[in-house]
Amino acid sequence: MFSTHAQWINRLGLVIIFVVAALIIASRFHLLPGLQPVATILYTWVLLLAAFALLLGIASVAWVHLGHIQGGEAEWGLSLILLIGLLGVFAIGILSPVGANSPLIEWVFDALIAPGQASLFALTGFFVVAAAYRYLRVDRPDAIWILVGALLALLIQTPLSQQLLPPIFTGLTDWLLVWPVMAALRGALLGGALAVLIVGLRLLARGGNPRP
Amino acid sequence: MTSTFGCPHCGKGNPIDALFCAFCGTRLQDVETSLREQQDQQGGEAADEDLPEDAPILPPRPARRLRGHATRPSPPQERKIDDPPDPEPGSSGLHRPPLRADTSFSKPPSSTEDPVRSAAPTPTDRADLSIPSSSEVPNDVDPAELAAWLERFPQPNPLSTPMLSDETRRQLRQLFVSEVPLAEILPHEARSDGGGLQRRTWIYWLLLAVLGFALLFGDEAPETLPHVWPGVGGAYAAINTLPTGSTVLIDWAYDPATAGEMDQVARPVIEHLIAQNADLIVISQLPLGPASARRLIAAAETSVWGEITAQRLDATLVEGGFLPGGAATLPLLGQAPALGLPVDLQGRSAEIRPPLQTLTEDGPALALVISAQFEPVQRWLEQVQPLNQTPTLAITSAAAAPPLRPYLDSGQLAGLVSGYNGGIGYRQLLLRPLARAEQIPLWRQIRGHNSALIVLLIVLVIGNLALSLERRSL
Amino acid sequence: MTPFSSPLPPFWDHLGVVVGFLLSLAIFSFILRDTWLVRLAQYLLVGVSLGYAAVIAWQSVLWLRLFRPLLDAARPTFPPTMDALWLYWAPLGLGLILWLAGIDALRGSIAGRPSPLRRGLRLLAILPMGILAGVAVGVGIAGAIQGTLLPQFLRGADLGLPAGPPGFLIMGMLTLLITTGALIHLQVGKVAAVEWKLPNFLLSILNGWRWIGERALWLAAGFLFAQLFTSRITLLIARLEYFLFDLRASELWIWLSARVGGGP
Repeated sequence: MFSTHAQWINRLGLVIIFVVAALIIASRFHLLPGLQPVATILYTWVLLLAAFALLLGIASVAWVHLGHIQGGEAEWGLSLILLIGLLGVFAIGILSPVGANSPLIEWVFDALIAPGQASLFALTGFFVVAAAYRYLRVDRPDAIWILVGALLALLIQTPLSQQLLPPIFTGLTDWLLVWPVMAALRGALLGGALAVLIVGLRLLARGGNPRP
Repeated sequence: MTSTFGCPHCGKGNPIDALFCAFCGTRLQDVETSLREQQDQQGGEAADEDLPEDAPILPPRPARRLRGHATRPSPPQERKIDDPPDPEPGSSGLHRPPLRADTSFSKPPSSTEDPVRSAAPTPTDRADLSIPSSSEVPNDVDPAELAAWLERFPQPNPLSTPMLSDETRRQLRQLFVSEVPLAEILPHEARSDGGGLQRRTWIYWLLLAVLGFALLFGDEAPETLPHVWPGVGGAYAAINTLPTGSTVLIDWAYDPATAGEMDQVARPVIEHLIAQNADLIVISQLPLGPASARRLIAAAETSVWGEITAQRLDATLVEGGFLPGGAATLPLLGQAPALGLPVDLQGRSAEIRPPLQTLTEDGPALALVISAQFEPVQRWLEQVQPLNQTPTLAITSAAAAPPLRPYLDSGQLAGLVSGYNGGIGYRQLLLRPLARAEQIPLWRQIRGHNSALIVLLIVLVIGNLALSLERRSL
Repeated sequence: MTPFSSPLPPFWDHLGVVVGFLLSLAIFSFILRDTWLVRLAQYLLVGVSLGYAAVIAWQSVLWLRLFRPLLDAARPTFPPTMDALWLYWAPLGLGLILWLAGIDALRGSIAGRPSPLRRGLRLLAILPMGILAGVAVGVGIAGAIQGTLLPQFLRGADLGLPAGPPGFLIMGMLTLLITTGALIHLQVGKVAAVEWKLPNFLLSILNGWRWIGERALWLAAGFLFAQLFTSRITLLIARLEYFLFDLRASELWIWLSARVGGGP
């Protein structure tokens, strides 16, 4: 947190994290009576602080790009475009009594944001096919299994191939999805939850000791 | 413990594929490059005696011609690295001299494992490499010369280098004496055409052409509908059994980026809810979510009632707005909805908006998480459902569905509708005939997916053919 | 006003069609090369999206939930049992500290000898940051246990044990085997004799167990890839539909076609 400052400052931060997290956990598991209103207040604070932090983050982006413009760095013109877009939309929204529901902001959403974002994400369709060309090759056991699973799912799901295959393949693929694949993913979910638990508990156990 | 080699500047151990020394910051690639240039200026490969005493060790030049193989070295991930014989004990250190070309070894390693990463060092081994015996070293390298040359360089600090097993030492040696992997891992400059990361323009054009052709030609209905994965029936039943006027809480977790797919999945479900006269309370943890929700719900209203007015939309939809904070703020919706949604987006409180009051007093009758990703659904199931025990449906993109199967199996999710095929399957259950203008986009999706599958199969065949050709050329 | 009715003149609709088309085309030109056009479109998109997000954050959260209740004391919007001090003034103070410290941080590092005010501000900012982090850690742990670990563990055990549903015993045991095998593979990896100091037969069993879980995970990865492919192709098809059909249905296109075709 403050790598150039005294250790007690870092320790103070960790203590705050520890206390707050402990309150939340105790409230969720009803370990102590009367904690639910405290937890509710904390959630409300986080909701508002998150909005403050979001605005601060956006201001940080604007600050960085302003620095690019002032420093005449490469592609400063693009930074200027970004700033103009950001400040323009923000000004229109703040000055309008209805905020984001104002006609101009709605126009920006429909004319710029929606088509732009949709196009950006549509490009990933190309990359997925390119990734299949590069990585779904039968030179490694893992790739073979991945290829088998992918082909089964796609051939059954796509109408063109589904009508060419016997119905037993459909039943087999459904069974695979509902049982073995689901079981493996359950293992992955449990592993992920355990990781979250261990990392969180380790952080709490350190609370007060910045170094393990 | 990963395999390491010593930094030429400070001698400390670094991972084998490190670009910079973790201790002194020396760019390990630059040192190699500058010394190669020095060797080139001196005319060909420098003799050992020409190297300065403190010169860092370079891995040998890539072999110009391996025995019976092509001249150009293959990419690192596809190279067959020959397996050198095991060394004798009594090694001198991690540093290795540049051996000459045409070194040859015996058998290749297993192709299933990365030989470096899978090696487990023995805790009791010393941190030094052994020099191969005279019978193991190729004929054109004199072991005595090798040993003499090695002794000129400082030994690594045994406290800073890890203890390596024989297997690890063998694998490190094969990296240094065979084709140089480090030279292959040099960072590439970003190409102005976006290349460097598997840019396959022919694939893009093939996909574009096939999809464009499939969409442009033919407006007839497809013969078969896509297969629908399990879970759709449960979602339909959960909504169908809702009493009229029920309050449904919706977490709208997608924005225009994924609206191309999510609108197709969510719309029949929203139409069903509207037909059931449910009161929809929509919140979103994405800034662009509320606007996306408003547009889709308005379109669904038009489909169901044939017209849309501001009053009707307002009667159906309570916009809870944007809820920042991720998982940290979701518990408010389960634990204290009055504080989570004190007013709607227009600033009207629960007294004016009865659904908000119902939410506070009785909780929602049903919860929907409409998400393009898997994480928002998991967040809801972890943060809200344990607090209010409300039946929850997940309406997701196709990509987000498989990791949610365990939650469907455990009963935490009452239903799961995913992908364009899930949307089509759900619409089939609605038994509400669609106008032709509404059907045509669905037909196009089906035709497009049929064509995309053909492209994928072609690409897979070509990809594997390319693999076999690459193998043969080696 | 509904999303389908706009008080703006029709010119704005036409302008929106043109702007949307040009922006989409610029982004799609990435297929050819990563040019300045693509970057221009991306920067513009990022700028307006951030501006929109800022408006939403202000309007939907800070104004409606904090500043307006503070200014409009005649109409309280919270249950009467909650104290305004805890609900509004405290988070307002924390938020302002966060803002001021953040803006100060943007100005530069406080290494060396900064003023006491700056040092104090940075110190105070520990409180809102600690609260944010603490709540995140707390809900993360509690949610992982309540929402994933316990239900999934109990369901897995329920299926695999003899006391589970009778018709699913074999499938349940297979499921349990695969689930635990996947967990072993992800958490432990290959069980090596030198690390675990177990008898050989036990090592063989564990590695076999892990082998099953690993293969099941690979198969699951294949299904995941298939669904990812489906999802992304759906997005691509929807976007191509926009280019090939939706644009042609716009009033601007119809007007242009009529002009080019020699119509009135």
